[in-house]
Amino acid sequence: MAFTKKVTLKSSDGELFIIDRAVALQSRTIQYVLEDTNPVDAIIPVPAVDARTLSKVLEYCKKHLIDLNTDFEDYSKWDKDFVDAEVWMLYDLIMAADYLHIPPLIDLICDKIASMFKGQTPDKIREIFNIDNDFSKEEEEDFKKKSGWAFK
Amino acid sequence: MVYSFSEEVLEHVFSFIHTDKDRNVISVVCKSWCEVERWSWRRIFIGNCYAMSPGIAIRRFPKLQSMALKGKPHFANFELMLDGLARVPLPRSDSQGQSSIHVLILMSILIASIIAVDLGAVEINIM
Repeated sequence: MAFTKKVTLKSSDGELFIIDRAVALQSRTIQYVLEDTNPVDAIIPVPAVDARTLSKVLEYCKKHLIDLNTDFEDYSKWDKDFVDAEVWMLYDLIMAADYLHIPPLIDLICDKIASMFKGQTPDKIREIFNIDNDFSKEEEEDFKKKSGWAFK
Repeated sequence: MVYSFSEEVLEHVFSFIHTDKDRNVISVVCKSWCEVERWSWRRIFIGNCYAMSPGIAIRRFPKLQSMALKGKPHFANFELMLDGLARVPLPRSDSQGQSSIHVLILMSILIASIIAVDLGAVEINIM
């Protein structure tokens, strides 16, 4: 079985990314594609992820591959800077990480999004994430009344 | 832009939130968040077992693994309070449905006995 050292990924908007196989293998989705079909010099389409997001995801994969020996503190600093991004970017990243199945990246972004909820009010969270409140006043009251004991 | 996170992603995000206050805030943001959020509770604390219904608790939080229940507050005689919480281990059963029924029955019995013998507090672990 001939393994190619390089893998080519194609983003949803048609941009090609030629990367080391080891970098690509951090994505379980791509790992399965490579294991199943073992494409030699083939282009693997990533239809759910655009070029801007894919390049950011690959930046993470490269960093985490090269710097496996970096001490923990440096690593967490890099990660922290990596997710210091606008909400839309975090959203695109989590969708991409979920689709490509890269567990440490999923954890990193989910932790970041969770930290944005902490200490907020429901209104503020709706504002940040552009969510409609689909509870009617009555439902909200009813819900609080029925489950009030859980909120003590 | 509307950010519609998938249920899996939301559940994962919620698993990083540990304070009850933040949990409560999340559950009233919108209906889909409430729905996802209730599946991610593993333990609850009930400050007054007279004020809750086991049925509602189990329906709302189907994946509960542990709960702490408090009975009648013993303000007058502190020496009757249990030292820490009594632990009642429950075997985890294979199917979720079965274990929910076990928890429901056990909760009902416990609440009845807390009331009957005037216990201070009980903790149930379903492991």
